[in-house]
Amino acid sequence: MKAIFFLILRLLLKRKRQTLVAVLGVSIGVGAFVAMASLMNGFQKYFIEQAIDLNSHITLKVKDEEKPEERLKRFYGEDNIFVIRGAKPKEKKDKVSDHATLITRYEKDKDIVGVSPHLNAQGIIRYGVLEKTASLIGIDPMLERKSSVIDRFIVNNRLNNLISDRYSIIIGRLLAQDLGIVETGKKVIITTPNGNTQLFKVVDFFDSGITYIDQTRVYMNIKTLQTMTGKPNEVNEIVFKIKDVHSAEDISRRISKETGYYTESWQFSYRNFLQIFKIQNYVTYIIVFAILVVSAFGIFNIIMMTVMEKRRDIAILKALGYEDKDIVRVFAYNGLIIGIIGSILGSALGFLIQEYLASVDIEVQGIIRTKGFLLDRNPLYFFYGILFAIVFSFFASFYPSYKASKLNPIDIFRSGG
Amino acid sequence: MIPLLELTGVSKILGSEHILKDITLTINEGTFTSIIGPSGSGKSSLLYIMGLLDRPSSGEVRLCNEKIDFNNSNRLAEIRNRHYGFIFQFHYLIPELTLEENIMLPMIKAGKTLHEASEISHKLIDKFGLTGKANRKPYQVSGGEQQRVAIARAMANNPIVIFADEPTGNLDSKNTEIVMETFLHLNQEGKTIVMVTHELDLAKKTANILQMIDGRISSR
Ligand SMILES: Nc1ncnc2c1ncn2[C@@H]1O[C@H](COP(=O)(O)OP(=O)(O)OP(=O)(O)O)[C@@H](O)[C@H]1O
Ligand SMILES: [Mg+2]
Repeated sequence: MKAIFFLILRLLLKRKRQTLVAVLGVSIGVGAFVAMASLMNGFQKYFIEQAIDLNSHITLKVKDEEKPEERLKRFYGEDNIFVIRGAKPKEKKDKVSDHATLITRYEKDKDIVGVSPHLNAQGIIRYGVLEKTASLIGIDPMLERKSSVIDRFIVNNRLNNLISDRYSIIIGRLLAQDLGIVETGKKVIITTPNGNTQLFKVVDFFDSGITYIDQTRVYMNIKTLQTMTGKPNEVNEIVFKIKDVHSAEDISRRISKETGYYTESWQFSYRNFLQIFKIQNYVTYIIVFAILVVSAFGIFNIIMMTVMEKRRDIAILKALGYEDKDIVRVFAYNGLIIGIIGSILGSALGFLIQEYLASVDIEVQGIIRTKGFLLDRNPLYFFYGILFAIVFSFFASFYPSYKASKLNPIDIFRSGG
Repeated sequence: MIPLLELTGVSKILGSEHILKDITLTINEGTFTSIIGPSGSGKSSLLYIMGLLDRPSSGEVRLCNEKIDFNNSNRLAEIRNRHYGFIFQFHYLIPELTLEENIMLPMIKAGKTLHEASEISHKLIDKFGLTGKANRKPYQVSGGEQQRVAIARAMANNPIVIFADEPTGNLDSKNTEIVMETFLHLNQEGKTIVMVTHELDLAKKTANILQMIDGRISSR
């Protein structure tokens, strides 16, 4: 064993340059993996957390339901579905009329933290000569507080103004920017699709960091919106905040069954984003995988070359009584050591990249807006990076090492090696 | 006379070539045997089989009355490590290791500690006239000295027999003489030696001469 280690050391030192290149390859692979994983997951986690905490974990709403046969076709294919026509239509709900009962009922539910009614409507918001479309959300501020983290995103913390002044609104930061509003207290005019127009005071801004939300959203008191849209006491959406966000799908299904309304979990509402994230993750992991494959080839190459060059030494070691497994070890450890050193350096590199990214202070503007990069600095990424690198270098060095152990010493002695 | 190594009806066929033909011979303990013969007559091939580096196509090999099982490669490796010493024309020292470390190799494989191995290695270095050169690399000493290191390495585990294939083939006459003297000295100490050579002068200094021609032993 000791003999093997001093042999390995000598072999590594012999090929300093190639060893260094192979070590660097592994380091870059591991470093890139750590950096990319923390960057991407940081972004994705942030997005999901913000979006679901803000919007709701589960939404109950009135919906033009997809015809059931459409859904069946999607799963089973066009030809396998027979549609029975003329069946008696079931009762159909077009508004959440029993919202008060539902809210009191689910407020007591052990899985549910908060329940809040919404009235959603489209509208046009005008400031001076500028006009923008907006999605108007009528809320009950007290209940909304319990069922979302709305307060966290309201810049001056004036959610209560919606109660004291029925004609006050809170508008998205980017919407305000688009309209040219930089400070609170400005008066804007909102028009609803039924033609009603009303003057409002902007009392606060709303800054979630999620671009499409901040660009369109207007919060007002639900009563005001009910009056404006001519739907007194009407609600078209109830949102739920639950204890465990991961059980949203189950609870959503349960609520739907219990109430007969259509419900949607955040996973379903955000399925497009989740899908994009999945693809994004695949792409990243493929890139990192490619880097690791390249560095594995580097290791393969260096071990193969060492084996070729060391044929004489392998022959004499075998003549001196070293067994095949000893020879395998000499070369496989050689590769493994490259992998281990590479992953240690790579982890350091990944850490440094993280530090750098964390210190960068730029405005990022995409689907989300943040200052600087959002990192998820999970230690597991280091663990996986190191694990992959070591497994890769093991496999890369295994074949040449095995080849080395199968060399027949007398072939080398005869050829004068 | 105690038989050390016995070959019975050993043949070696490689492809269509009949390299060794029905060889039966005995190497007794404490003897110095040289194998001579023209190039291609099968001297090395015979040595590889006696040295358990190659397997015969047919026939039997016995070492100290143990029938050798050529399928048991671990046992073959163990015998080579503990009981055999090898010296080749090209000394096959590992260039990255010092002379001392080269000599230590068989001992470490045999399970000796680095300390023990180093001690023995130093004794051998002194014994073979290499004092002070323990930490040199093989390319930092002469060809004759390299061959003496190879002999020291062959002696490291105090083997029962030494096999040498043209050990002087690459040496000038002065170094040839030194190496030959070393062998004779070791033989006087009781070591069994089998040496392949094509120099009749050297063979004549040994007690037994096996003459090979075309895969057969023609005289002894
Ligand atoms: N791999 C092989 N395949 C076929 N024939 C071989 C092979 N290796 C050696 N031979 C043949 O075996 C015969 C014996 O070879 P060997 O090396 O034992 O001869 P030798 O007496 O040691 O010769 P030299 O004095 O040149 O070293 C030769 O005729 C050689 O051509
Ligand atoms: Mg030969």
